[in-house]
Formats: sequence, C-alpha cells, structure tokens
Amino acid sequence: MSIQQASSAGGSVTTPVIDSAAEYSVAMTGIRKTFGSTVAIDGVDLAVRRGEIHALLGENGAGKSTLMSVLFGIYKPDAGTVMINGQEARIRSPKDAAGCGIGMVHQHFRLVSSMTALDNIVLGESGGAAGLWRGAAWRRRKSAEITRLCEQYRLSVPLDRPVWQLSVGEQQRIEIMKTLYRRCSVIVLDEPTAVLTPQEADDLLLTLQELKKDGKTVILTTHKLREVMAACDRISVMRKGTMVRTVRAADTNEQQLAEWIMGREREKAEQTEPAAGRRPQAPTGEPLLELRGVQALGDHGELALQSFDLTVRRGEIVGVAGVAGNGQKELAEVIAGSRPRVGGEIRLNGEPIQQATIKGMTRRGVAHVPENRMKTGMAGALDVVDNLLMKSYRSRERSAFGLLRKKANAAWAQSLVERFAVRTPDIATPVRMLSGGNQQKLLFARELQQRPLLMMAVHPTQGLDVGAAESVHRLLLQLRSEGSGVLLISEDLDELIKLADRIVVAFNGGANGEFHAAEASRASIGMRMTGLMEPARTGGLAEGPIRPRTSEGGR
Amino acid sequence: MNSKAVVIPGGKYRLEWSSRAASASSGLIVSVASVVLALLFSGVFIALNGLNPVFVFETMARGAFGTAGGLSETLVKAIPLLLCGLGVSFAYRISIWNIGAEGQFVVGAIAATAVTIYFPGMPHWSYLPVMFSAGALAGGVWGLLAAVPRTHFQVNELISSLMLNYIALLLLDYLVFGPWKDPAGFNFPGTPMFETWMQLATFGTGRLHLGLFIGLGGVLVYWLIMYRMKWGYELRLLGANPEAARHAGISVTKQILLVMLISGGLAGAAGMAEVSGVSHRLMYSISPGYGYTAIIVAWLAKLNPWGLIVSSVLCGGVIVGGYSVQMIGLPASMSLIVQGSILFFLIGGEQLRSYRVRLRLTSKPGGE
Repeated sequence: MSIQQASSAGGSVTTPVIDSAAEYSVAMTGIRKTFGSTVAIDGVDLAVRRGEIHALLGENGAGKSTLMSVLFGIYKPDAGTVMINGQEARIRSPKDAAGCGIGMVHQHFRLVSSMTALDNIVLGESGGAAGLWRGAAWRRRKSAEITRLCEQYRLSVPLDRPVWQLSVGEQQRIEIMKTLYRRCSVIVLDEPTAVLTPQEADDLLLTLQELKKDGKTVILTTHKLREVMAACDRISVMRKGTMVRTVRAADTNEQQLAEWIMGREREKAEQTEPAAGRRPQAPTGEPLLELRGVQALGDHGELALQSFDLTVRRGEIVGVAGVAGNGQKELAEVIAGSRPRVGGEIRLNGEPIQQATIKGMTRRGVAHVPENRMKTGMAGALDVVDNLLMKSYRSRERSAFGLLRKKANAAWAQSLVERFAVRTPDIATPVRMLSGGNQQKLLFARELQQRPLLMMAVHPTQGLDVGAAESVHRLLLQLRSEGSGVLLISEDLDELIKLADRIVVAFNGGANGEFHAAEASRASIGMRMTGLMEPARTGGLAEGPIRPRTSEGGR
Repeated sequence: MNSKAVVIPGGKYRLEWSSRAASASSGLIVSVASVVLALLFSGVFIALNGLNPVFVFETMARGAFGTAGGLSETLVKAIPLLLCGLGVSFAYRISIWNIGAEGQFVVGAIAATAVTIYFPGMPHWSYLPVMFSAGALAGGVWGLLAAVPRTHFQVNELISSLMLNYIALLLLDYLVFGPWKDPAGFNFPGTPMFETWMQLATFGTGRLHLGLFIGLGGVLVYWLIMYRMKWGYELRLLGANPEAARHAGISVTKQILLVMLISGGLAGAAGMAEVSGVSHRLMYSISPGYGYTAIIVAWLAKLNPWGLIVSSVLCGGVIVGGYSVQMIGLPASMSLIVQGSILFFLIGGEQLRSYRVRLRLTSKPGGE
C-alpha cells in the first residue's frame, strides 16, 4: 500500500512520492476537525519519516496544535486516517497513543510539582504485581534504570528533587524522560522552546539530535524559523487549517518559509486603503506613554519582558504585533499595573511612574480592555449597572459618604447603554446573558466614559462577529481623533494594518522592529514576528553553530 | 452541550443531565424543598424508632411555636444563630469559607466575661458597652487568626478556622473548670453569676433579651452594606469575580482581612449576648453548636439579609422542638438529624440547580 502525499498548494517544490508506507512512522491523511461551526483543520496530510526531526510550522491558529491533539488522541477527527508504522491506528485517547508508542511533551507541562522528578517519571506505570510494593529497593532499581537512560541521551535531570524547585528547562527534560522511559518511538513536542531561555533552547536542540541518533522520530511544533533551520530534517508548513507543503530543510530558506507561513497576501496588504480618517504622515503629537528598557517576569519566573521600548503619542494608534507568548500579555499587564516591573522605566504624560498599581494607572487615565473580558474585565453574575461601575464607583458622581447613588447610577448606566448601542433586555440583566459583542461594547463604554488619556486594548475583537468588530474599530478610531493615545495589542495583522499608525513587533520579550503604516506589509512584519530578522542582541542561535551543553541548565 | 446519561438498572429509563446556568428564582425553591426533604428523611428515622413522624413533627412545632413560652425560647435560640449566621454570610459573600463561628462565639463569650471578672469597679452603665466591644473584638481577632494565614501563606481557611474552634472550646473548659470557677458554685463548671448591670434586659417574664435588637440591627446593617454601600459593591464584585475585582483596583488581601474581622466580630457579639442575656455567667458548653448551625442558617437564607431572619427562627425552632420531643421518648439530638439533613439537601440542591435533569424512556426498551 502506498500513500500519495498530497501537496494541497501544489507549488514549485514537489514532495517526493511515497513508495512504502512502512518508511513512515506517522502518516496522517485527510484529517478534518471542526469545533461547532468552525473548521479548525481540513484535509490535512502529514507524513513523518522514521528517525527524522520534523517541524510543524505555522502561525497561532494555523492548526498545528489541533493536528497534534488528533495524533495524541485528545481530539477525535471528523475525517481522515492515521497510520503508525504502516498500520492503520485507531487513536481515541492519549492511552491509545501511548500504546502506539507516541509520547507528547505539552507546552504546559503535566507534572506534579510536589513530587520528585523520579516519581513523576514512573507515575502511572502499573508495573504488575511486582510493582505493588514500592520500597527502597524498587526505588534504587528505578533510579538506576532512569539514570542509565539519562546518560544514554545525555540529559541531565536531578531525579531526587521536587519538581517545583527545578528550572523550566529541567522540567521539560523530565517530560522528555517520561516519553523515553515509556519507550515511545515518536516524540511530539508542542512549542518546546516557547518557555526556554536561548541557552536552554540550544540544549534542547542538542537533545533532539541525540534522540534522532537513537532512531526516535521527533515532531515539534514551533513558529521560530531559526530553530527549524538549525535542527530539523523536514518541515511542514500549515496556514489557516490547511497544509501548505512539506519540504526538506536543505531545499528551502527562511525567507521562503516566512512567505508560506504568512501567505501571499503581501500585495493585498500593501494595496489596503488607509483607514478612514488616517493622517497621511506619522503623527507628531507629544509622547503620552514611554517605555524604556522595561523588564518583567512571566508566570514561570522567566524574564518574559526583556528590555521593551515603546512610545505612544497623543492622537495615534500604535499596534503591537506578534505571535502569542512573546511578551504581549506581560507588556499589557505591566502598563495596566497588574504585573510588577523589574527593570526599566515607564513615563506617562512625561511623568515617571515609580510603582505602577492598577488603581494608580486608572486614576492617571489609562483605560484597559483586557484580553479575556469575562475573566478579568467583567463579573458575569453581576448586572449591567454593577459592571459599568467597576472603574468609576469611587468617584463623587457615583457614590457619596460610602453609599452608592442608586438612582443616579441607574440613569447613567441607561444613558451609556443607549450611547454605545448595547443590546440588553434591561440594565438589571446579568452580563453573562449578553452576547460577546455586547459584552465588549459594554466594556468599551465603561472604559471610554472616563475620557482616558491612553486606551490599551488587548485582542479587542477576538471572538466577535464582523459587525461587532467593526464597531470596536470605529470606537478606537474615534478615540484617536479625540486626541487620546491608543495601544492596540493584537494577533490579527489585518486589523493592525488597517487601524494602526505605527506597528511595533514583539518578539522574545522585546520590540523587534517598528513599521510606519505606509511601509507595513504582512511579509515584512511576519519576518520580524518569526524572529527571522532581529537585532543582534537576541539569541544564541544567531551567532553560529550550536554551543555544547554545559552541565547546568541555567536560567 | 455537556450532556451525560446513565441507564437506570432495569433498562427502561435513562437519566440525562446537562449543565446550565443556575436561575436566580430557583434559590428559594431549593431552600424550601430542602426543608421538606429533610423532614421526610428524618421521618424515616422516627418511624424506625417506632413513633409516628407526623405526631413527632407536630409536637416539635407546637413546642417551638405553639405557645408564648415556646416562641420566646425559639427566639432566644434564634438570636445567636442570627448573629453568627450574619457573620458567616459576610465571609461566604466573598467565598471565604469561615466555619469558625463556633470558636469566635466562644472567645466572644470569654472576653465579655473577662471584663466582669477583671474589672469589677467600673461604673455600672459602662459594663454592657465594654463587654459588647470586648466580645466583638475577641471574635474578630479569632477570625483574623484564620484570615492572616490565608492571605499571607495560602493556608486553607476552612481548616484553620475549624481548628481554632477546638482551641477556643478547650480554652473555655480550662477557664470554667479552673481559674474562673465559682468558689461558691458547688463545683459547677461556671463563673459566678453576673451582677444585674452586667445583664442584657429581658422582655417580660421570659428569657428573651435585648440581643434580639442587636441581631435585627445587624441584619439592617448587612443589607445596607451589601446593597447600598460602596464597600458592599466591592464585596459583591469580589465574590462574583476576584480577578475582575483586582483589575478594578480592589485589594483582595485587605478585603479578606476586613471581612473576617467583621465575620468573627459578629459571632463574638453573639457570644457576649449569650452570656450576658441568657446564662448570665460563662459556663461549660455555653453553645450547643450555634456556630455550626449558623452555616445552615446562612445557606438556607442564600446569604439574603431578610432570609437570615426566617432561617434563624426556623433553626432555633428545630432546636427547641428537639427539647420537646424528649418528653415522648426521643433524644433531643433528633434536632441535629433534622439540621444535618437540611444542610445535606441544601448542598445537593445547590448542585442540581446548575443542571437540567431529565428522566427519559430509553430508545431501545430492555436494552442489552
């Protein structure tokens, strides 16, 4: 039986016809997966040779993770077949996947933080009747066995320390050890370098080479081109839920890959008419928000924001582009005052901010439309009035002598609902009953009624239909024409190109390039987003061959 | 959406349930249904004792509400339940699970008594206000002892507040069996009786005392805070979505400490009212579990201020009714069975409220 590998784009680079299915350890054909009415991936083929390092490239939302979740049995595909080592496999659960010899290292590790590395590695192993008594002898035996494995693959893992004490790189090595210990022949790594320091990332790539030497098949999803070129044998590029093509790393270059990832929409983007009301030249208003060398730690204690520079002037919209996880979340939180800054300086309206607090930034006129509106922006169980009050209930108009001005607030809420055309049965309705678009309008109503100096909107149109997104865009443009500064953080390049006067690209926790609206194109921004073009200061990989690993992972 | 089903043994019917948003109106239904189901459930135990459940419940109701004396006794029990219930309701509003009202009640009683023992020479009029303040403050501090580990070291307040109950109860035992025991009390584990100016005035001939107004005043203040005041708005926001509250500039730590101070303070005030208004001395087992019953009171009322009045009188009635069934040969702990099953059905009903449950005929009768 032979599989014809379909290249849906059918471009200039032809993929070789596959003669024998047995040559492939993983062959997925015609995979389709929908969530409700959204098609996540459609007609996707992926063939991975035994003993190769195969990269799955693509933007966020391109469908990489969905495809890997299908392979690992987390999602059941609507259509398509999966063959493992030439045999058709019915993978319906992660347990089935493990039975087929597939191991997965998730982006967010699945480790028990209070247990030691050793316990995490053997966790879930039944071990039969002999494994029931887990005494000192058993521990010594397991410890020796795992240490042997560690030496074989040149992985340094401190086995007897609890996981919470270990660095992110060490934790990842435990995850890899878990797959090796279970004798997996196919190891899938989902965005493995997203949380690692450059040094740790280099170490990881060396480990992958060791795995390959031993005949393991490695699949890794990533959006970082440089790693792909440095470490992988073959590369599959996905875009918008389809497979663009599969090529050998030796037959392509970063430029070409970037184009495939972003799509051939460069021409279209360049022809985009300037949005209504856009000024022909770059705005020259006085600087409103200035960030110089701002640093902040991420949730895992890593330096998520490493020296970020940014300026927002009055009357301009500055867009921040970037693939998720490059510091945008931390950037927004630092400016909003909800995440402490560990270095650098922030000036608002020329005045240096010593310690940013949420209350202080709100008082200084920073409005914030957060990324996840129902998680941090609103309280779903409370009604429209209560949600509108969130930022202004302390003011004299809304409360006096510790008492809320009930009647005045109701009238005020009613007028806001009307002015922003929020569709709600009445102002006593809990906001969780409203549609996403109306919730977002309500949030904008609340943030805008304070007449903000600076509006920071994070993914403001995520999950909204076209009409609602359009009204959000109009609100942002109106703010600009009224002289406020707008910081728009978005993953939607089209939205940024349409609205922003300048676009700053976030990469690896820093600003990697800046574009004026006139010169911005999808391809050039895309190259910055994927780190293809970046300032010399970033990353070990840019400086040549991968350095040998030092004994300590280091942070 | 998130729908599940099981086939009921026999194969004829299938039970399906799917999650949904709990509607506001179903809250009252759950409360009433839990009381009814609890009575049916405890009726089984009464029947097992060879008595007619209807007769027993009738006796209980008559004992608790049927006579002026019984009603007065019910209200006497309702006062500490109402104050402790108010206290825990404050905490539950922001999802702080204070189950330490019992201990807070006891330290309140101890502190109020300490005033009478260690400061015998104060002007007579000053005793009640000073005793009240001491009781409320002690209860509040006891609440903070559970709150500070929670805010600063992420210690689960359920466990710490519960453990503090035992410390408070054992402290009480130590005092009344030891240093504070009335030398003229024929070895009874209790302090000397309070002087009349240290006692809350009672109405008429019964034991019902001025603490009733403290409780009702508390309800009014609770309503005012929660539905009219800026601070209550912050608490409601914190209860509905702590992350959003933080983004509105509210200090979660500060609010937890403040709420636990007040929550404990109300239970402490209840302890003061009990020693000053009812027992007129500090004595062994001053509380028949008021602090625990208050948890039932709060949930039965769904943390609603007016509901608290109804549920505290109801639970007070169950306690008094429990005494009256002793005459017909049942233990007074019958009331504990009723209370326990009310809470059981309340919590169960609360869960079911967020599901739609349907019984259906299976498509293939008989099944496999």
